[in-house]
Amino acid sequence: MPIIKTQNLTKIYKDHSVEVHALNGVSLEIEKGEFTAIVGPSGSGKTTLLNIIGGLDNPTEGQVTIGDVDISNLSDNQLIDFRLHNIGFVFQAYNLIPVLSAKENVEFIMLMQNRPKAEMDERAEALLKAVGLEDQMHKRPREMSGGQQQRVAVARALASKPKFVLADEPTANLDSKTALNLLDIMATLNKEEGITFIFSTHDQKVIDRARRIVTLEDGVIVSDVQQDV
Amino acid sequence: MYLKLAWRNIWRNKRRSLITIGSILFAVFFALVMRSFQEGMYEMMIDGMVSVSTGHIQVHREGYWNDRSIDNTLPIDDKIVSKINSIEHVSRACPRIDSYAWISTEELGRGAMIIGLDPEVDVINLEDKLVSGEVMNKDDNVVMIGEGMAEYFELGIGDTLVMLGQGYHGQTAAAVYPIGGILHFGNPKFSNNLVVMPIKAAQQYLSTENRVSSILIELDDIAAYLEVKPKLAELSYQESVDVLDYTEMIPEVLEAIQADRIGGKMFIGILYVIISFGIFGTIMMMTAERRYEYGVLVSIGMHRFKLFMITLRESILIALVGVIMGFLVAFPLIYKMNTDPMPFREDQMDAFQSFGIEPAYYAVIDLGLMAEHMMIIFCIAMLVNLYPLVKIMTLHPVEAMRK
Repeated sequence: MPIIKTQNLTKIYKDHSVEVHALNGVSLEIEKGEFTAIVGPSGSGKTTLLNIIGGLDNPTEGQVTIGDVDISNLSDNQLIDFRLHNIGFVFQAYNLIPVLSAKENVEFIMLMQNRPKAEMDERAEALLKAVGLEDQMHKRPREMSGGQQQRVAVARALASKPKFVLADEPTANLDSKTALNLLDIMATLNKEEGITFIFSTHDQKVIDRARRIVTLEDGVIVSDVQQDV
Repeated sequence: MYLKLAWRNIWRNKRRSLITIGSILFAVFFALVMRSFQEGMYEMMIDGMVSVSTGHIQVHREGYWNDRSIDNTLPIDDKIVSKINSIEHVSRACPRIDSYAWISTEELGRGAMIIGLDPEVDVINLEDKLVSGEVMNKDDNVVMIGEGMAEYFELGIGDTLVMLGQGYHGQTAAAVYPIGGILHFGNPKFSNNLVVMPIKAAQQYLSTENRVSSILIELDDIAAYLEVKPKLAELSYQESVDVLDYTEMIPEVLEAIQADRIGGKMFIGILYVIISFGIFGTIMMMTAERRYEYGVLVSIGMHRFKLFMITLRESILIALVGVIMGFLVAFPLIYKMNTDPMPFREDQMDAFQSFGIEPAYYAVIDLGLMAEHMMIIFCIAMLVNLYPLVKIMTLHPVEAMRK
């Protein structure tokens, strides 16, 4: 059974009287443990697709099923809860909470899940260690480099024990070396812990590491290929 | 951690938070100081009237208040005065006899108010008001006059004045009295026209024997007047009596105070509106700056109401700091002006004295009044948070994160 299933997704934005078709009948299935890149030129609908899969936006038509839940029918509050417990997010601009330390940022999402303090402590430390930041735990985002911040964002995304992680252009703000380092970490987590990653990207380094590449153009899937890494 | 997050968020933009705290501090300081001084002035006005002319409560013969004739006086004895003094909250009962007389010297004449009182028990503090001479004793046959009258008649201690008036039941009241003391009154009405004499001498002058115009009652707590009044009415007097409290005796003063109090409150209201806009501006800026962050937090699974509660915690912390600091800055000044009122400048004194007000900056310490204004300002700071509430509740995470 696929972890994510989209059926005939259509998204139309209305800008005054002009209709913009961001997605045109996108149907896609993603299995558990995949390391998938959604690629395409700017305006092809990558981010829109990710937003709809992540429950951040509603499709104009079509259906998104995560596991056995049709998220198109969830209320706003149910969607927030669903995202909290099932989806990890990594954003292009890191988006850490600036006044919290690296560890507190990771713990914060578990706090929202009402996890016990001891568990939050232990898991935050383990995740930061997994992304190579065990010695940066008490630093605030402004005291860390972009790459380090993005690694904290990955640890935060995993803290909630999500079914999958959606990463929107995660390497766009990083230099090549830092980007490769981050991809290594995510690939290791994918391989060793079976965590599902879905990227939207046009970074060749990400595309090279992905085992499945879905290409979008004008809101339509034009190719969907597997590759050996 | 939510509280920690709120506290740290406050210091993310120190300048903005300090401006907000400063606005609240200023509002609390200004409101507390202004209202405490305002109420202090009212208290002094009432005290001025009560201590010299009315007392907190008065007992008269029935109908006296509307027909203040010497024929309308009340016979009393020492027993009734003792009974009044034994009532809880009564600090003293002061029999007085009031009348009018024509005062004259060899060359000049003027109408005057005559007050006969017991200098040992009366609410009027003759010692404090004495400018020259000595305070009379209750058995003396002397008078004390105001400075204004002494100046007008060019009288000094030991000089005599002639008093001519109407005594009880149409008898002629005429006598010559030496001046034993000259008194200072802030109110020119008293300074120019008042003659104070021992009650026994006044009763003799007016031929009223044991009759008095009124028994002034001073209370240890002005608020107890409603409790004491019925107890006074229950006592048995030789004739029917009326018992009036100070609100019935000086309604025009209380009405003037009420009108002025409304003006003061309106002024404070305008201040509150200005402060509200100031706080609203900073909250609006904060909400706009953090829109992206709110989008991220809602995206990763934070419920909107929880997010609002974090921003509300920030506002509560800021408002609490501002309100407490405002109180801490205002209270020492209010306390100082309560325990040691600062006299006005010489040139300001006359204007206040002419209204019978002690010419000093005096503030009341009224914790209820302070709490009321602190609470209003705190509530304003909370009310302004409806803006981020609306923004967060209607926030679309994708749009919020779109740069």
